Amino acid sequence: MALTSEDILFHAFAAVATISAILVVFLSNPIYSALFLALTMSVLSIFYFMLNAPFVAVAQLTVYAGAVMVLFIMVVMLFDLKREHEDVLKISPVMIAKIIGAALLCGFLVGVSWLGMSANQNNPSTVVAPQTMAKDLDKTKPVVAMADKPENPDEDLTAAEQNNLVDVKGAPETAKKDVPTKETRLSPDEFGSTASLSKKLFSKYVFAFEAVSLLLLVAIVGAVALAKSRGGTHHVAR
Amino acid sequence: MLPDNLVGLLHVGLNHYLVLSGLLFSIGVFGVLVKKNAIVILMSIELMLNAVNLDFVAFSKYGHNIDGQAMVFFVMTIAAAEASVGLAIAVAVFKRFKEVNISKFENLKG
Repeated sequence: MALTSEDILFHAFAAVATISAILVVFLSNPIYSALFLALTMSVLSIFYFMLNAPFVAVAQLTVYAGAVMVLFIMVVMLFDLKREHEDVLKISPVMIAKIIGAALLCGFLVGVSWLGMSANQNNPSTVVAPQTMAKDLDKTKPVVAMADKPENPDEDLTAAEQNNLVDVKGAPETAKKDVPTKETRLSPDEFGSTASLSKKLFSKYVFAFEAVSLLLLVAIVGAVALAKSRGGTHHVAR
Repeated sequence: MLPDNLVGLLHVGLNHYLVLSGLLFSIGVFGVLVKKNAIVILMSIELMLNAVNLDFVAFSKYGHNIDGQAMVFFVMTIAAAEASVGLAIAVAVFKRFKEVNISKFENLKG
């Protein structure tokens, strides 16, 4: 058992992402914060590539590392922030409470994930899933047909029951009782491809898709209206 | 080389992504709590949203369910809208107060 190249890449990029995220918060010049945030987002898109999500990775690069960061940097450059010098770690009771709160949240999130890791090593339910999937692959219908097919309530019910069983009886049941739902029957090549994602987007999530387009329209109008207004509803006597 | 125990620990799984995402999320929370610059606070919020996106994609891969990626798509869209509106508000506030330090405009009444 040796480290694969994916492992090494993950840890290197995870270090880069964490350090640049910390720099986003701790640097006092907002331009540097924005540039390190762009670095964090680019590294996250590499993680998406490693996670078999090429469409999400490219969208991350164009939308976040491209568009959103350009917006941030442009706004930062519009403002004259030269005289901004804030003491991030000024010692006061409120600041200590904030730091303790953030540290507690960090410890909680990381601790829960880490404990989940040791539980997963005893019972690797996530590792078992591909085998079950491959076993069931031959008796499945083509993916296109399944995407068009309406939801089968019985199947969902059994899946939900299985989940309940797992929750009640604890982890050891998971490996055997892991019934693949409709989504898990995608073949490994099919999984994560842009085609399968877009099938999902335009069948199951088509309403949300249209709602999001409406939201973007509202955001455009709202942003223009806000940016045009001269300091809100009231004019200032300067 | 490395002992087997450590190699097993370093072998990338779902939980490595969860730990990384938890770290990024708490750094974002820390930024929102501590920073005084309104724009950097918006950046910290983007950091938190990105951490959640990483969770979505990781669960999508290790749970073999592509719904997570669809959800990331929506989160990204809404985050972009949020960033544009938030920055427009920041621009309006800066025009009004000549200031982006949030402690300087505690009372927002006209």
